[in-house]
Amino acid sequence: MLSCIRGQDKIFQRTLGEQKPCAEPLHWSRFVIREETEGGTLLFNALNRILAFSDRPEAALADPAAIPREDAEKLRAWHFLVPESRDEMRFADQMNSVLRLFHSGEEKKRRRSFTIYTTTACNARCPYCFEAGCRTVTMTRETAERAVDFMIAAAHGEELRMSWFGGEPLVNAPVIDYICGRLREQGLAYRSTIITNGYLWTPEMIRRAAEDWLLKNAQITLDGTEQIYNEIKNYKSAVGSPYRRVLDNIGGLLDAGIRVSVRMNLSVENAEDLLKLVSELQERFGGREGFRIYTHLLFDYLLSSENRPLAEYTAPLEAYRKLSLRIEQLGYGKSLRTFDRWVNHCMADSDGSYVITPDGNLTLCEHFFDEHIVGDLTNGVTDREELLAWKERKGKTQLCESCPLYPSCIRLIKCPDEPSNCSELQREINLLDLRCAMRSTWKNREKLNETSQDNEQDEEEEHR
Amino acid sequence: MKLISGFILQDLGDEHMAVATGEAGKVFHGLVRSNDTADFIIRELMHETTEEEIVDRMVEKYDAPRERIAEDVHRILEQFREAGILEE
Repeated sequence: MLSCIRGQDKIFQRTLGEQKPCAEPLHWSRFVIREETEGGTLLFNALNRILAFSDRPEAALADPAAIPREDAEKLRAWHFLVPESRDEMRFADQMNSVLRLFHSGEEKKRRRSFTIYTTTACNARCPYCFEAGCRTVTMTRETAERAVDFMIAAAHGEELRMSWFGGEPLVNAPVIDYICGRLREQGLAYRSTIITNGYLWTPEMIRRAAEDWLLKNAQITLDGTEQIYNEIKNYKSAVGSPYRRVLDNIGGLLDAGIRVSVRMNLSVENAEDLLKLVSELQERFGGREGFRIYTHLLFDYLLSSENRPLAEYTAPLEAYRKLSLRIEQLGYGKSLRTFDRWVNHCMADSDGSYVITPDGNLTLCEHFFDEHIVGDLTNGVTDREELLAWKERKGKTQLCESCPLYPSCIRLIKCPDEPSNCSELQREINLLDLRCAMRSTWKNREKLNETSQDNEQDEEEEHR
Repeated sequence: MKLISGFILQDLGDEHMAVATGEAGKVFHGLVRSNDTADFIIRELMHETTEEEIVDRMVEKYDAPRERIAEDVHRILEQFREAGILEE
């Protein structure tokens, strides 16, 4: 028996729809990823992002002709089984063109997400920081005032979404207070998130974050257990153990109803220690509402992996696999939403987002505050050429020819996070993440249904 | 004397922090993290004052010998001078 765990998004229903019966022989689409799991096989289609479950083992699905008719018809309708003559890459290209056209018709071109660099100063000295050696500049009250005016005008009455970024954004917490205060005075809807090292929080600041900044999520990086963390972060004039202080602050944020995502930057060197850290975090925060952990392989590996065989990265890949699996086992699996990209890659090509630098310039990528400037808070976009350059995509590579993730892959020429050509390592990491997301979605399917029913009941209660 | 303009101060429980913006940011690129005493001095320096006046104000507030306080104030002011963040 075949069941649909995650159906097509509305936009796919309206554009791709179901595949009609055809006389031609069908075979498995090259965009289908199969993952054997307890009691059957999970099937994900990277073309339309449908996740299905078959109660048959993977080997029993290999030959389409041997699949029971009822299941085979569903697989055909959902584009898992496709005509043998179909040029699938071309089909995916056409599909993506249609989706982009559809989107551009619906897109209101309002910019309502803003990444705000409150400062490039930081109280930590992490050796891997991409901003190391950058100019130190901190946002003034006057710039913050201009930022508020600019955001209000750009959002056209939509809810503003702000992400506090740095440096360490809390170094300049007064400017966050100021911006949120001004938005409240004007009666504007907003919410915010933050990327922080987590050290500078105080109980009073956490209260302001929950009540005034309307902070929904804090991303905090932890690179090891106590001793290693304290060595890596190398905080300036730290008092006591920074590690313990950050953990206390995570507890405080969760108490205040703010979600906390702990990011672990993984290298071969800290891999074993991160496994210990996961256990420590689970012991302290496991089961707390809003707490989650995830890992990311250090960018250095990915950036160096272009045109190099996977065999050179056996150790980091194995470390990533082991840590990801441990995190998944604890219930912090990945989401399939990560693979939902079909119109844009990220904030940089989204048409909905600006980065506001501490000195009042506008960029499109949070990794740049001093270059790739597209305009400023006073004059808006002044360099349209730069803005459009962020939409330019990389061409196909040889790896694309055999990549099952091709339809959901968008790579930008200007992206500083990716090698100029895709790499075997990058693809392997993406596939590991996808398989994890498939399993997590499957495991949580009943929980998700319950949550959705609870929400519906809550809404009904409110209407009464 | 006073601190060059542009410092933003904030309390972090038992610590205090000053970060330079605007004009101050052009001269000073770091953070000043301080205890209660240093923070008191920084706050005094947000307006025009003298070393003597700062010592007087600290003697009123803290239960310590004047000589000791004067030494501390002098030492901290010298650090600020070296960092180039004092206008005199």
